[in-house]
Amino acid sequence: MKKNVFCGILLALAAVIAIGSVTVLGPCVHEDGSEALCSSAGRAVLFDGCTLAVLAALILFMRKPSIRIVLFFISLCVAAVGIALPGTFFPLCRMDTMHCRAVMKPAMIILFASELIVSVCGIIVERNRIRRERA
Amino acid sequence: MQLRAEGISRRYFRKHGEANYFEAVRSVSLTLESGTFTVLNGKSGSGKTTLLNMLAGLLIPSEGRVYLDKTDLYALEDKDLSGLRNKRISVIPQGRSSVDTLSVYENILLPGILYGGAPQTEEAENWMEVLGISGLRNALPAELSGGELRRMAIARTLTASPEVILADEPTGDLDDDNTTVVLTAFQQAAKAGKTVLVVSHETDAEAYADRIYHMNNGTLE
Amino acid sequence: MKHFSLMIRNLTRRPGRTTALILLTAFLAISVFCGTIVVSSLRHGLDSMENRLGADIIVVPAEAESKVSMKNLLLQGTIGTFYMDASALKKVQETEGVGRASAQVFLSSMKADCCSVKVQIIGFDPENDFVVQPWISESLNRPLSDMEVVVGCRVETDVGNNFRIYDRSCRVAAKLASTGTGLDTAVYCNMNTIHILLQAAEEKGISHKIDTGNDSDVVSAIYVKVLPGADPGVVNNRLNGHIRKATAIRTAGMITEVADSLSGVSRTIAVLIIAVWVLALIILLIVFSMMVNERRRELAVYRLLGMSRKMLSGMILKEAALCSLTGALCGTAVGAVLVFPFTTLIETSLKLPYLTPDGGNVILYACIAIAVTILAGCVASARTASALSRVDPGTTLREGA
Repeated sequence: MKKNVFCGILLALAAVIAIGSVTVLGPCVHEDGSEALCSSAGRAVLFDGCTLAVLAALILFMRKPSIRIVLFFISLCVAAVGIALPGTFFPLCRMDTMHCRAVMKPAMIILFASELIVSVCGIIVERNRIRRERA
Repeated sequence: MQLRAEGISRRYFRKHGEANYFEAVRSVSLTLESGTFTVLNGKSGSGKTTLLNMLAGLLIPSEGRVYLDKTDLYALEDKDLSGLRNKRISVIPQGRSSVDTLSVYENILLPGILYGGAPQTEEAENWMEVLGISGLRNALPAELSGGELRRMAIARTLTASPEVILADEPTGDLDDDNTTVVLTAFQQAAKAGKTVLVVSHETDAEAYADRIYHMNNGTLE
Repeated sequence: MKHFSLMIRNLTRRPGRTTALILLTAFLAISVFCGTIVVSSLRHGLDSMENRLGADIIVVPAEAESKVSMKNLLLQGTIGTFYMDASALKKVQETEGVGRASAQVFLSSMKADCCSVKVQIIGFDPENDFVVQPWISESLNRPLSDMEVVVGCRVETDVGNNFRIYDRSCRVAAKLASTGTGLDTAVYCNMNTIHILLQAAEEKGISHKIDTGNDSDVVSAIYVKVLPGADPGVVNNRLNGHIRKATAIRTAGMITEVADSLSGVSRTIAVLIIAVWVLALIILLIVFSMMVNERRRELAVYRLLGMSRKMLSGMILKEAALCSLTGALCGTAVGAVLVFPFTTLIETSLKLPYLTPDGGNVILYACIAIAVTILAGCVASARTASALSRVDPGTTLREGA
């Protein structure tokens, strides 16, 4: 039970990222239906969130600590990429007051940073488990 | 070194009954000399524990005084009396007396830690070995049996090596072998110049005692 | 093992109780820190707005107020495009009591040009301007050339970049410091540039002509500074009587209106903080009271082994302080994560000038939040510390409580 706490948190955060990116934490929406500059960033965030959710689900079903460490490490990398998605890898609208800059970017940075921290915690816990099992 | 009680009494107020108070200890005078192993026996409810607590500086007598050499215990400030209880008088109480967040080893070293002294690790290891609890060094009190907890409390007192040892039913939870070990340890402590008082309603300790007192209905016989 | 390690063990080996205390104190710290930052940012924003406005009176076309609230135009950057005959400037300058008068021309960009959103483009005359120029001087120490623009801090572009407005390329000459108002989302240029852009807009089918003039003869607003000693109210009335089809608005009224809204928001935040505090303090008191029974036996052991009442209450207070410190640090950190990245969201939601205090003040507010939270934890535990230090060890241990 305890060993699944971190992948549970990882999964919950990934779900918030994925659902958020298509709802309240998503890119700007133009009234006329045209695509905003930040739409690609929104799609990238959604894809990254879904990847993290899949990784978390995989960790949940894996028993071997070494495999879980590898998966946590991949999650860490995916989360690190996620931080840079809105604004660095994908453009955002050029006004600070726009939804993508005021809401999506800070929220996603916080969520992906949390995912990164949780992944690090997961790696530490699994490494300790391996040490305990060896001892 | 001398621990002396002069006419000490202790009354407890009661809401029910004929009188509105109950006298647990009645005008008891008692002198405990260093190098003696004293046993105080008596039936349950005869006032033994109340007398021990008053001698230990834990319970203020309703009347009378308690002296450690020339120091009136209850004339001292709380800070000084507490310091004295840490350095010179050690009590092994009847119930559980462990700090549950500390391991057995840490519990044994605790009196030294409280006043910032150097931990008496060698003595602690020695008494844990003698009392058969060295294997429980890192265990938490919650994992211990009643007998093991009692031996831990005894090891703590013997490690602290105070001038006065006051033990309340120290062998109550112990088997015969451990009872012998504990009482022998107390006897040796007395021979080494300590003042030892063991309160018990059993007769095991009497064989080791230099002096035996009997308590009945709050008075000493 | 020292006293401190003893406290750490007491806390770490009771994880449930310790976590509850840390969470509660963190909650207190979040409310104090976030509340203080929001209120001080609002006050800072109002001060900035007062400083930046620089004018006593604004003269706008009569129909302007029906199009857009001047307060919204200044605070939220609401787009306002309205025009009056440029001759109004001369009439304003001739009015008794008027010290300085400077005109501005407003234009709205097309959505797709630069920012996926319309921006307010403001043309001003650098020679007689006293509203924008002093502020621009902080970022650009030379006159603004034609087809050069200065952008507000919230427009995401860099100095030297080209900026397309109505298919005309403008070079970004400077970026302004934050004001916490809607002026941060505007783009500024000189009168020549704005007229070129008006012409370009005309070519795109967006007309700015008024009934009697052509493009080069229009202005959107005239900012007025009254002469020293003149009563702005009297001058305002004179302007309203003197200039046809225009309305003179006193900026003091706008600032007062904003200040009133601000004090309303501040009051609401203060009430919320007090409510959070009362609730959290009650819960803290309950948690500590529950601890009295839970720890009675443990503390009786400490007394038995020679801890004085003072040492014991000191240990309980130090434990509470340690929990509160951890909670306060976590709470302040969480508060910072909540309040700083979402500054723009808070500003646009409150619809008030909002300018985050500088680093020094933020650190000061964080220290205050931490200190106040630790104090609250200690106060809540003081009664428990006093009750527990009076525990009678003999009776307690005999009862096996």
